[in-house]
Amino acid sequence: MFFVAAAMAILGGIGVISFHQPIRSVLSLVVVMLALSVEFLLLSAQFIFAVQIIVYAGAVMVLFLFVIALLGPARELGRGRLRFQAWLSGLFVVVLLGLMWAMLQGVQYRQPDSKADMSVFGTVQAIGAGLFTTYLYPFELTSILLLVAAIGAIYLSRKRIDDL
Amino acid sequence: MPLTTDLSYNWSQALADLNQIAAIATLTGFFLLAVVVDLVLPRSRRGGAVAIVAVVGFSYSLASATYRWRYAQGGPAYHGFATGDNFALFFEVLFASLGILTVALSHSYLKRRGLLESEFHLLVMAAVIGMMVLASATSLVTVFLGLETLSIALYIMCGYARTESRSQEAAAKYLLVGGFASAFVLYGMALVYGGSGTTVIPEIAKNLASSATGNPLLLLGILLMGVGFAFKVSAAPFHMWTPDVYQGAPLPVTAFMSVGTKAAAFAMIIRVFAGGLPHLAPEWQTLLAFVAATSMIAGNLMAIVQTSLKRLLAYSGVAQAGYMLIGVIAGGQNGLAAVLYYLFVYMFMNFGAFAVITMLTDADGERDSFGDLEGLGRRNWLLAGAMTVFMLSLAGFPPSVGFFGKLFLFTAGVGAGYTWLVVLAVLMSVVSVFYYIRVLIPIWTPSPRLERVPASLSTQLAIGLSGVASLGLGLYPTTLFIAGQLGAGPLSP
Amino acid sequence: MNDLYNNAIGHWVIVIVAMSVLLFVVLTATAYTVWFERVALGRIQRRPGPNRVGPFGLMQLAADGIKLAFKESFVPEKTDKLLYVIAPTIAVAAAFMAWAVIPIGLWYNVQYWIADVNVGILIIFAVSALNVYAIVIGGYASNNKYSLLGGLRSAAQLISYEMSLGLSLVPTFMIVGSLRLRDIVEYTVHWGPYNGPLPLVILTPLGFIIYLISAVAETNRAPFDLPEAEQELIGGFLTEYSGLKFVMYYLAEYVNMITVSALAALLFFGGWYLWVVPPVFAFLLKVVLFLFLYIWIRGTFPRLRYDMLMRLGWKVLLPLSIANVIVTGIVLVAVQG
Repeated sequence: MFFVAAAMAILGGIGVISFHQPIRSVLSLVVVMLALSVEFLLLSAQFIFAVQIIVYAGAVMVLFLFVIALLGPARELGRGRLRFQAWLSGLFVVVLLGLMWAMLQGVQYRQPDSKADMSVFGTVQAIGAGLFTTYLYPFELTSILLLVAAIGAIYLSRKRIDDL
Repeated sequence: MPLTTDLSYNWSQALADLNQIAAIATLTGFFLLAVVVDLVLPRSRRGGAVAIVAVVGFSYSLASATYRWRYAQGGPAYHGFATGDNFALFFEVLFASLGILTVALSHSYLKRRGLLESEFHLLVMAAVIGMMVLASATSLVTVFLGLETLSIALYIMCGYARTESRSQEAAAKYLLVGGFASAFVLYGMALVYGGSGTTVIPEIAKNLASSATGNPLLLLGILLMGVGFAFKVSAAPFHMWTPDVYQGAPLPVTAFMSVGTKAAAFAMIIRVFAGGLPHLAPEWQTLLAFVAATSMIAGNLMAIVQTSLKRLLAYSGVAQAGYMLIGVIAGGQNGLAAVLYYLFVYMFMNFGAFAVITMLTDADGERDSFGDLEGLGRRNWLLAGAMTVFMLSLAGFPPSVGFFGKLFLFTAGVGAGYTWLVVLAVLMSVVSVFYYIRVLIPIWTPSPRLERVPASLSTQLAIGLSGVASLGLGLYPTTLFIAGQLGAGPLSP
Repeated sequence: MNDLYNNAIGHWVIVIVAMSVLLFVVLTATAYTVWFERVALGRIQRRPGPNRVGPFGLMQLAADGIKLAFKESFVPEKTDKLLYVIAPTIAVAAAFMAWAVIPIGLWYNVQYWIADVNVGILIIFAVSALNVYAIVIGGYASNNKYSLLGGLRSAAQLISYEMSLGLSLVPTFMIVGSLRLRDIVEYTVHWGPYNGPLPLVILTPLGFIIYLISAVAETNRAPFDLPEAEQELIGGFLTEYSGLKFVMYYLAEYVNMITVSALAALLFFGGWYLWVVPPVFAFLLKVVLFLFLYIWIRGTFPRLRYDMLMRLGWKVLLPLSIANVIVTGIVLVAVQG
């Protein structure tokens, strides 16, 4: 199951960069998101599974789709490439994969933490309690980060300077 | 770390934790206040009011950091996610001062260019919050959150002049490159987490004490994080975005980010590498030595041929990042203290230089060619004098701060056995004198241009303060260097 | 029964049988919902409605189905064929998937549901979030400006109302302390002498009203059926669809309608509990009442203008639901200490 979802995610990732129509790239990205959510479910993080689908697949990607549908079905033009780009990139991919493979030869994998209580892990209650005790600081920081992003988006997206 | 919940977490503990991050908390409070002020006041009053709130907020933040430096005991807070140690406090003082300088500089600039003021100050505050979070973070999670808060605020600030294509280009470029850099950092962090089993930086060091060497996950993690960090400090060969973004962004933004991002990114490098991975020092030192050498060469040589002052200062910034990396590589209390000292004084000299160029802006836009500096000596003697100080300081002439900064860095480098790097750095400093002096020539040669360069009181104060600090901290460098040593204390063995 | 359930193969057999049965039941229910709607709308508009095929027109749907199924499967020129075909299947799949976690009742110790997960309600949201794709992709792939406009309107509408929909339920979760649908249905109170189940609508009436409005918008039903407003957009994203693909969209819409009705019954009206009425019938009764409410609303309210729709969603419902969450939190802390 893990490998099925992982393969889906990788295929989706390849789809994102290889389709010529932007809308298909977006849909490939949706596939990646869904595959990732399955991985979360396999790690018994049910809440994150649901949230991943609701937030990424349900909201973020729909906005991508929205923008691309508005811009129309223009195909990305295949020009502006170097002559040997395909060959060169293929070579780099092979070299990179080889290097990574060589590096990962001596990995010592860590054992999973046996202390974790699997009956509580990943439930909404556990995550909620964690967010407001142990992870309070990162949680609040995230809210500031989102506030800043919202201020910026409002500033950049209004039509005229005195619109607000 | 498994998902743990600590239900015994109570009010008194929350209050103690809040005290450890007093500077950040204060500034965040004022940030929220500024948002509300911006919302309720009539349009004509907003800008000034938000500027005042921002300055007051930065001052309070500065004061609380100073107070804690003198009287309070710093320690970990929020289950190891943040800390209030001297290292964090040193940077909090730095960033709060930078915030005050930026607000002072941008007030008249924004008015002159007809840009909205209140949002700008809000974004400056947000970016400073991000920088402070970064400096006080002791977990990879908070490091990344601080980095993103800072970056997102800066992306928007780069595109602040929305009607100008240059500014938009800078924002888009910075967003893309910054996004790549963040992704690299995040991937590296994930691998380090996988290799060490925790995101809390001191615990990473503890977990790896016995089993660090030879774990490829960690090496790959260091490599990826190193690439991302190099992007953020704009070190070669990852510096390509710097000149374009610096040139396109509005000048106060360039001034702010050239100093702020660099300092924040150095805080991050020191925290993560020196604090979390001391057992893998040879690996990251090699990586950083390569980056330092290429930065010094590329930055200095490219700066010679620039015709735009902004681009020149951008390449000079690349070179300066190279010098500072020597201190990080050297490590130890003296090496890190040298970095902290240099970052603090770099704020004054580099910010000051950009501030002087900001003053040349007229109604048509920014003026940043050598020709625009003609006759500045007679058009506004304060700006001319200050610019001279900044340039000599950046070049490293005694008795300016730049001289002592480089002296400390290079001594630490030689002490740690990186003589070849220091020799290269000295050679390149000599090269740099050429282009720094080149800026001064048009300022002091007689010229028929006599129209005054106007400067508002707040800007004059900001530039004057930077100039005085650039000289004063050089004439009497001891206090700041000792402060740097205290700041480096928590991270040097 | 329980032995069989704990056996691995038996477990799968049961699940597959249950899924088939559920599919059949939901499909039939959908068909008769359509009939019910047409008859009820007819009565509201003072006309007889379908009454020719079979007794009371009950076979009308079979007739329509056969007619649509034998229509030419037509794909318009210059469209993205793959996406054009995929879009309606997404709609149907998303609509049916939600039923995997909806509990129908507990009767003689037999559980009438497929999966009882502790984030049940979130999974329903997750699945219904995918519904947007069906509409946007369908609108885009039709290569028709009315379809595209319909699809885009729908995307904006669904995202806007999904937030107030989700937030309107948060007080319920806060009171019950669980996201498991079964726990919510079986929520009981101990108020002095009274000891027993309580319909949650009494505790969060505001949440229920917000849920009701948002749910109508989420299912693209009148008066929020802007994506397919026939006066301005011909048929919205449905313009270019015909035959079986049209049936799929149509089906999905009605399944979604039943889903939100079932959720309303489960979350706010005590699910399968109703005095002495047997559990499954009690549940069905409540669902039918809600369906009638939807049809009633459709028959009597005029359609909103697009900007009014957005204003209602963002400036009225969203702040209200956030306020509702905050107030509930304060009251809960005050009551429970």
